[in-house]
Amino acid sequence: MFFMVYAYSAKEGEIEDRGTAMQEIRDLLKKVETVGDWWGVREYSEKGQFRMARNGQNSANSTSVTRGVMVEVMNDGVLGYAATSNLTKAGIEMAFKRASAQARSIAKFSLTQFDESIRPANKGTYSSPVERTLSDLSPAEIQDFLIKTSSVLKKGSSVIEASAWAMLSETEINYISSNGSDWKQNFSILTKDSSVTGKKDDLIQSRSSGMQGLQWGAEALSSETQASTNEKLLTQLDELLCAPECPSETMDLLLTPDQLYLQVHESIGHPLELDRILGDERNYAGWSFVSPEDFGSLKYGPSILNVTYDPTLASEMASFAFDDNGVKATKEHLIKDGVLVRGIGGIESQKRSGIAGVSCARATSWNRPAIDRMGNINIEPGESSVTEMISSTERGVLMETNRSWSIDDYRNKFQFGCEYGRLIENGELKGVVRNPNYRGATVNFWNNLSHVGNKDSFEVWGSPYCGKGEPNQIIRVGHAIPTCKFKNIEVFGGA
Amino acid sequence: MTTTNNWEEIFNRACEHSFSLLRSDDVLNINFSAEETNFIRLNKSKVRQISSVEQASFEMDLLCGQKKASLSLDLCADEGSNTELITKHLEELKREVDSLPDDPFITPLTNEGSSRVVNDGLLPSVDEFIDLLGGLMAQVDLAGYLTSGPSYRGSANSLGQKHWFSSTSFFFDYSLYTAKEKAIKGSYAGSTFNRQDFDTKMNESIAALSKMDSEQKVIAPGKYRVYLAPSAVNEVSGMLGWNALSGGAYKRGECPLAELFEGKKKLSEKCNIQEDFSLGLSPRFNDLGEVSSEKISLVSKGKMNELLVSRATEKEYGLKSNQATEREGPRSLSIGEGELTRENILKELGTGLYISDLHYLNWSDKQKARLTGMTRFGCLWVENGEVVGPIKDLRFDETLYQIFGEGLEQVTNFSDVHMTTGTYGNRSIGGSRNPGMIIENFSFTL
Ligand SMILES: [Zn+2]
Repeated sequence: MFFMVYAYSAKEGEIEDRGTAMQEIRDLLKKVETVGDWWGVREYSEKGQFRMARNGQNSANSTSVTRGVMVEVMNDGVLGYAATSNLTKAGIEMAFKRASAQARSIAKFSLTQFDESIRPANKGTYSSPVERTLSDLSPAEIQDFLIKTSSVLKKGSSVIEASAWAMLSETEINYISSNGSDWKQNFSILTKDSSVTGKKDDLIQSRSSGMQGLQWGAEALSSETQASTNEKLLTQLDELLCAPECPSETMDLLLTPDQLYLQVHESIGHPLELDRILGDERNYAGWSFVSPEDFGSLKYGPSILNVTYDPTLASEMASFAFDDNGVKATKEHLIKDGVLVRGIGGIESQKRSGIAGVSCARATSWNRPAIDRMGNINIEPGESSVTEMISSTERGVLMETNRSWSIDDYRNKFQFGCEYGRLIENGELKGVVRNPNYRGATVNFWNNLSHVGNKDSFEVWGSPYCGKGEPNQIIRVGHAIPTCKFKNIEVFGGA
Repeated sequence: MTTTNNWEEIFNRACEHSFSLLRSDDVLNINFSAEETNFIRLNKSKVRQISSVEQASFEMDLLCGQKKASLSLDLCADEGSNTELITKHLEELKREVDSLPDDPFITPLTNEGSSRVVNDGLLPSVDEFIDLLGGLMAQVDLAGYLTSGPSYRGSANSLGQKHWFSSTSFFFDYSLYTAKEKAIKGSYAGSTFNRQDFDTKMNESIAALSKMDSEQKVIAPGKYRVYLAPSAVNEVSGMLGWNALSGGAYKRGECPLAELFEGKKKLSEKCNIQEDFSLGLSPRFNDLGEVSSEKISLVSKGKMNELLVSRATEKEYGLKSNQATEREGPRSLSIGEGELTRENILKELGTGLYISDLHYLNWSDKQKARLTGMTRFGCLWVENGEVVGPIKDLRFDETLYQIFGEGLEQVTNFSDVHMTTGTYGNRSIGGSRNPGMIIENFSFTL
């Protein structure tokens, strides 16, 4: 069991003496002429690395180093934002002026009117739980791991392309505000994937480990774990190249966490976002079938369905102590015993809508304001073993690893495709099927949930690529999920 | 926002400084992008969030023999900060390059010459734009965002090549809503903001919204005759950038149009697809500074002539490069027009679906070029050439061989230019030009 390494300081105090943000940014702000009824400065710096090998050879090595500040200024209850990478006194003062002028210029037409309480004063620090820091890994070491992985995968008899990549990021956020917020968070995140594509006659199939991102350190690149993954990928690729198409019929469906996490993301996470419900996202990501009256009454699923917002699960991608509005992050139920009870909305959306939310206002980097985002959206483990789910199935299919996803702008009608399927007949796992897909409508689908897996099938998954917002922002999200079973789902194969 | 910084000079100085730090065997390739942008985000015709961003990204590819590593840094208007940052990180990059194994598919950099394109514009100030909103608010429920300001792209290498591209532009990307949550999409974009054009656009959109007011029609899944308006075709053609035109993806077994390239399948004679830089949406130089032909015919009369091929793919697989970017996606795609006139669209559609917009497309069977996605803004049911009313959203699942092939009946004699409105990380540039299309037997599944 891991524990999160963070500490809160409950008392408010003076920024200069008791703060926890980096000294450098605090010293700089002391020199800057600030403006506005209230202000906050979020400094964001990140070193990101992307490395890839293909077919046993070095293929890509890129590093990005970014650092800048977002200055927020409130005048008469209206916020303006200005971002800059010019971290000189002059640069930050200019950003203050721009943010303040922006707030003034929209005063007449601002949709919202707030006060300081939307940026509660907090102090503290957070660090990802790591065994070995990412900076322990040299570029050559990472590349060596990827070359070896793709080299082993390329040796498969039918393989035409094998690749492995890793994306590392070390991020630091410092936040200081005029009403006493002063905190720092450090994240260590590694996302990786490995995949093979094979060809037999005219048939092409791919199998991958599934993109998985976690808060962890250098220990993420474990050769032993990768060796068993490689073996599985090559075996299953050969199976797929001999497998028939997935049948098209209505039957039971078992989804493993590497597919179910995206189902949760698209059909529970997004529709519960309060800014979508409030209409902010109507022009881009979309609206939601969920309306404000649904909180407290909508039966999203059967009573075995419990969905949480959990920023406290060690290693999950979006665990943190504070969101980017400086609100303390706590674990909350979104769906309790099947009933919708809470939305995914930060403090601003909670005030606008009057709906209970969570600490989830987040920004992709220093150049964007925080908006409502998913953090870690999890299904709490249930009672069923995978064996029990299979043995209780007369006819069904088990699907693994997402490869295609699509859902409408209200988050209703979805369609997903997976890499690998296994038929289930009369309570037993049978042959492999290729191109397995399924489709459905959200509330109906979740109400067809018949089994929630226990701790044995519970896995932590996460993606760095959730897109939303105008201007656009991508964000890292986590989903920890057990295998689940659904009754009577429309399943189908390839073209 | 008025430009306060001379980004071209900042770029030039940063290049000079980086080149001065190179060792004798090092070659450096640089890609630069900068912007000074105002974003005004709207909901219910009011401002939800306003932000201004000043950012510049300086990306260096350091090559030393068959070794290569890249690094991007954030520059700013302060030269001292830039010099310090580049000096520190370029040293690290040199050490990294030396430590890496060879990459056999690296091709040597060359000097592909120089160019300089500067497109000026006249943008609305924040205050001017905010004033326009006052008029809109009373009339309509609007959500969307205005993005405006100058953006810059530079490319240079230590062999003397240098390209500069700057453009001052704005886009207003919006949607309007009826009380029953039916919506239409609109956009107004360009380099010179004109009050009269803005009003005309808005009035057209408000008129189009009135068609969405009648009772919603629920359509059962099945095969229908459809008209895809240029903005809906734009969503489909956007999927061509997901490996469908990539030479490297073809060789890796990941190209959805592989069977078209191999001549096993074909598209309709009415289908013509080209990369056309004469649209002026995107610079012709790629990330290596290579300048592409102004026009590349990819599909003509339903047959594929060539895929987009980068220099790396040429070296790895022997396909001939056409100066594509590393991603081998189109940058300025243009779909050929046909003969269907605007006045005849409804008559020629007869009975079926008029689709203005599609949403969330993805390959549902990549190997067979099958796509799925949803209908979204401005979709109507039409009977005998008359609009009946808006539809409840439908999911489609159909192959490109049907959409641009067997099912393609007519193509309009006009097309719309769609500027990219993407702002992930920074403001994208580029876009595409698409006509409208009438398609038979288009499959809806949910
Ligand atoms: Zn998402």
